[in-house]
Amino acid sequence: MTGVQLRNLGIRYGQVEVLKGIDLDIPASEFIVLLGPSGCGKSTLLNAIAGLQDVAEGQILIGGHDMTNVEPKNRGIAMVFQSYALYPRMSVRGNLSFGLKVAKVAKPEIEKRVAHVAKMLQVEPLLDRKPSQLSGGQRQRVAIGRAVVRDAGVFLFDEPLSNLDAQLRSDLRVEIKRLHQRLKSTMIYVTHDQIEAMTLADRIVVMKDRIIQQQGTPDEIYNKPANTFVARFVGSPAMNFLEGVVKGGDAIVDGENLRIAAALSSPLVDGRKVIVGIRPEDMALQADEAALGLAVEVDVVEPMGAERMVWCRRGDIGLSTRTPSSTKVKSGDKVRLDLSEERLHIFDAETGKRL
Amino acid sequence: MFVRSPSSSRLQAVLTLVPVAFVVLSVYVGGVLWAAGISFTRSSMLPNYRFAGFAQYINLFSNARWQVSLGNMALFAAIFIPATLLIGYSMAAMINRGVRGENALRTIYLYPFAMSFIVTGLVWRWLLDPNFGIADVARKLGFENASFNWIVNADMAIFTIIIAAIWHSSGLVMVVLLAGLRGVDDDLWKAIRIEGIPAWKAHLFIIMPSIGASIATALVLMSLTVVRLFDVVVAMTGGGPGIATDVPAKFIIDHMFERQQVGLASAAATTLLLLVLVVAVPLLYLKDRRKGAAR
Ligand SMILES: Nc1ncnc2c1ncn2[C@@H]1O[C@H](COP(=O)(O)OP(=O)(O)OP(=O)(O)O)[C@@H](O)[C@H]1O
Ligand SMILES: [Mg+2]
Repeated sequence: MTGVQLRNLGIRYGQVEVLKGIDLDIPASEFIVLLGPSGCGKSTLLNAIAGLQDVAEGQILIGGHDMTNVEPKNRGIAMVFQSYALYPRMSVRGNLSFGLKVAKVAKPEIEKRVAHVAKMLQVEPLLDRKPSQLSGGQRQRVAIGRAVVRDAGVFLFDEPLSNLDAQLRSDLRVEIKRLHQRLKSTMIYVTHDQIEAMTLADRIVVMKDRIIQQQGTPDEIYNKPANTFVARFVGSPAMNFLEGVVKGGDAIVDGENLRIAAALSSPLVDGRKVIVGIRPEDMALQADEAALGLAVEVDVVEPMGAERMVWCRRGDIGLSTRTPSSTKVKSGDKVRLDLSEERLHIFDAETGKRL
Repeated sequence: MFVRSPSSSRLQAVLTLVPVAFVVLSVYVGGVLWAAGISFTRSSMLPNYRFAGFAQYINLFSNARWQVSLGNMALFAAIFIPATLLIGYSMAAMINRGVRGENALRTIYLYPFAMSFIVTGLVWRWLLDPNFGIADVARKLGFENASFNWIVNADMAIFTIIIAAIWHSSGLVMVVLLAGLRGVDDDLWKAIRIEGIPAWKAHLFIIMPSIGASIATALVLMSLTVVRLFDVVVAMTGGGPGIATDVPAKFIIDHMFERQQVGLASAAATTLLLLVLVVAVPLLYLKDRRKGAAR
């Protein structure tokens, strides 16, 4: 089994530094997701691991061997692309077997592998078609098949599902997860879709501004975001933020006392500026104006089937929450939001770091 | 509110185009048909309309000069098209890989095409002149025995024309193919590198097939050059030595205007037209089909 280590990796396009000081240890058989906004360098990092991108400094180890300057074909990797990148004039069979033929794998072995993979990805009936005769979902299956056929220790995916519609996307997502359970290969998966990240990953690496912001299990990323960027980026709708000042162990937010002690490991000194974060599902909407909690006015109500998203205002501050559909609220209602204290996230107002 | 229905605007478009279509049809198609008609008459100095069956064609194909012309055209096509395609593609692939000074290179390569074929012919005539051209330069550089006399050699003169034509057209083919290569998905190149497919295999089996439409366009352009081959021959060799570098277009013009054998020239022109149709139609069809498949 093949793990991947990145040591102090730095990448430049000319003078522009795109990534710096990337340290990442990916154990064998792990499914790791690189998550981040557009332009944060996810693809660049993946290409560097593949050997398609020159590295300015640092080291890439695959299976314990230094692969920093090794040709892509010799790195024992396979890759799947957003645009499928199938060989256009070759049949599906040709696409699956061409690389093996070039690598001089014996013919019976090629046939065996192609048949096996075609069966696994349910593309057997398509083997004699050209890519132009396939749907988007089928093309991506073939592209995944072309990667699997290589029998590589490490799979790299660059937003493989971004060109597909919602239904196909969730189907193929499950397929990829199943593939991972079956092959037990190391998989490195780039996406900016947090649902994909949450559902697929053993571990998520959140990237932004040339560096890794946080790495951890989906649970850690969601429940213990390391900074306000991660907190805002992961979760939909995004976490709510309130600015406050510490006083007597509480945070004073817009004249109200918020109990934050339960969310802190050690108490903070008075006068420290903090940002208090709370996820929409961690607030209970109280239709009773006299109840406990933050007084707000309902702005917009969005029905979503079993639940409703309720967007509230308190002065300039916007807050979103979920309520069961049975709660009767409408725009303009004065309500209260009961924040569950142990679910608060406290960040330093200056650095944005979790406290 | 008045909304123009699609069918009424379509009607308008058709009506606008009718006069143009009429002129095109009557002048071009009419001209072609007239020439074809004349080729079945006994016309010599002036057109007349006495039917002669295939007599002009029989004459034509037993004419030694016509045979040489056709042979030259075939040889020209057999070397010019593959060589120009290969050179044009190689230059396009090189530029596409992102060499420095791409714009300058593109201009330099395209420059020959901006010259008329006459100028190209004259330039190469000087370059290849046994007394004043490259051979002379070589002698002055100290290669006393250097001689290069293809252009005055009946067997080799046609190759000098082929060289000049390749030089003239490679840049255009390069630009057409470069446009195609630019459309090739970056991810495709990455997939090729990851699978470790050697460059020539990648170009031959993956990249070239995926720019089929551009290649078909280049082939059509080159085929037209082959059929219309005239001015470079006039400028370089005048069809000589003797009739060694004669080509069909020159044959037609000479017989139409100088030798005043209108019927024979028309038969030759009609033959040439049929040849064009036989070559170009499948190519155009191929091009359309490729485009359709790419969708
Ligand atoms: N060839 C290049 N030359 C210069 N800068 C580049 C080049 N390719 C990418 N960049 C820059 O590097 C940064 C990272 O690009 P990259 O493609 O890795 O982003 P990404 O995270 O994959 O984004 P996306 O989600 O949009 O795919 C971007 O800011 C981009 O502008
Ligand atoms: Mg990307």
